[in-house]
Amino acid sequence: MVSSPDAVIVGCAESPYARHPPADTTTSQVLADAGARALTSAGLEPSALDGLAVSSFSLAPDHAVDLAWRLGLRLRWLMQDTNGGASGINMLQHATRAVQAGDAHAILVLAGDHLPRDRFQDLVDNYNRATSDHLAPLPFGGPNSLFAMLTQRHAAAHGLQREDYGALVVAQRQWAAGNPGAAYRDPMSLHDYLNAPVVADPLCVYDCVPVVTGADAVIVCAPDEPTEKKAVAIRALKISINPDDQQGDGLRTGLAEVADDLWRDAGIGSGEIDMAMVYDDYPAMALVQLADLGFAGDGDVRALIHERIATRQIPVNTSGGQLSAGQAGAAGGLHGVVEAVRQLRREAGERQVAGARTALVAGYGMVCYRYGACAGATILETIT
Amino acid sequence: MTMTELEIQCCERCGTSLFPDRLWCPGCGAAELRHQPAGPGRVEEETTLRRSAEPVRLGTVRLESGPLIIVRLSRHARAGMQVHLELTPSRTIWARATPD
Repeated sequence: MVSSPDAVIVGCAESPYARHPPADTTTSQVLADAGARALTSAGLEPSALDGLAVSSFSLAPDHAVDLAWRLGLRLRWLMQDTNGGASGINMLQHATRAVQAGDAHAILVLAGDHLPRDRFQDLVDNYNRATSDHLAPLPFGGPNSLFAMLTQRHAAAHGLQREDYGALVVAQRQWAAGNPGAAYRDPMSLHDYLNAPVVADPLCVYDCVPVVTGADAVIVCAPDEPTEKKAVAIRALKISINPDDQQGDGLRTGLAEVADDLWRDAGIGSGEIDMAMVYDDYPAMALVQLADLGFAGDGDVRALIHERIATRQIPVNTSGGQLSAGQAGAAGGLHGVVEAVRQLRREAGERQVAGARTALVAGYGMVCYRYGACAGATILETIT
Repeated sequence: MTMTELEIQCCERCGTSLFPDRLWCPGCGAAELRHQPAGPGRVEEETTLRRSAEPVRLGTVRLESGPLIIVRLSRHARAGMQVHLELTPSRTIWARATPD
């Protein structure tokens, strides 16, 4: 990977995730906080920005332009993304082309949510037409029931037990211990996992992301944009939308279809990448994405868990992932990007992966009916 | 409570069965989609929501005509069983075990 990248990330930040935010918290506030922190991270003033992208389930009645106005930004490029867990990668795809084409020079990419219990319930029950018409009336308890059944299919397909998923969850909690921003950092044993309250068989509370308030942000620039801080190159990026009309088993995402193109564009293989941040709304989905992207070369998912993830042979979700750090709505789609950039800039503190130069980040989301329909992945690389 | 048999879409051109409703046939592109009774299916997986006021049993049903449907399982319906699907006025889809 020596050629000039299409775009670089020059700053990243997270507005601290809060399990119980103050009562007067608003979505716009946490998005602005993440944006301000990202500007500090990049060493830029707001006046340097000429592009803004935002993804949020709870920004309404405001829109992207209202956010731009309230932030006092003068822009030439603006987008609002609705792809949930895939929004981070999706916005990076658009932002990359915008700076490549010269439509914008410095784009603030934001994702975040503040979803109090009643708003969260409303979002879950009215996620789309199919959900409000056919799932909410069951009632279905949100995506937990859908991914409980998907996890049963996954376990049957790969011969996995709860102990195997637990090993992934415990490994991520160990990473979270080094992340001051994680909602849950206390040590968790496999015993704790196996004895946790069941939410929807076979999923227990530790298989389901804790909902938090928060936001993530990165700043995307053209590679020739002068910056004082360390930049991270976007080497490759692919997305896939609705690969199977929701008529599959959900055990293969669109990442499987774009994986070859992604690695070819990046010029490296899955065996050479230094870390992976995958969208962990549920442990099975983290494993599905890793397998789709070639990390379980011979299809042995149990070996991937115990011999590679638990041993940190491949560092996976070094922030603790959403399972330990928390899921701040749409911010979950950008969380892995922020963590990867922190690692590649050597700003990851106690959890810093020594010598890491490359990272894979994958996003996944938007359950149309039975499982997510959107997926995307990017390869990031340190620039020295 | 008045129950009706669940209806699903069927493409008049290629015969593909669809649920939930699509805007045109993803198989052949035809706009002519009519509704017809869902017909029998089999429960492929089931799960129980444990954190609701009382446990709610849900399942995935594969219809003989193809579509996969998320359902509420009635008392005797279990994974592996043949079921038929009924719709309540409040739009809950119930799977009831079909007598052998």
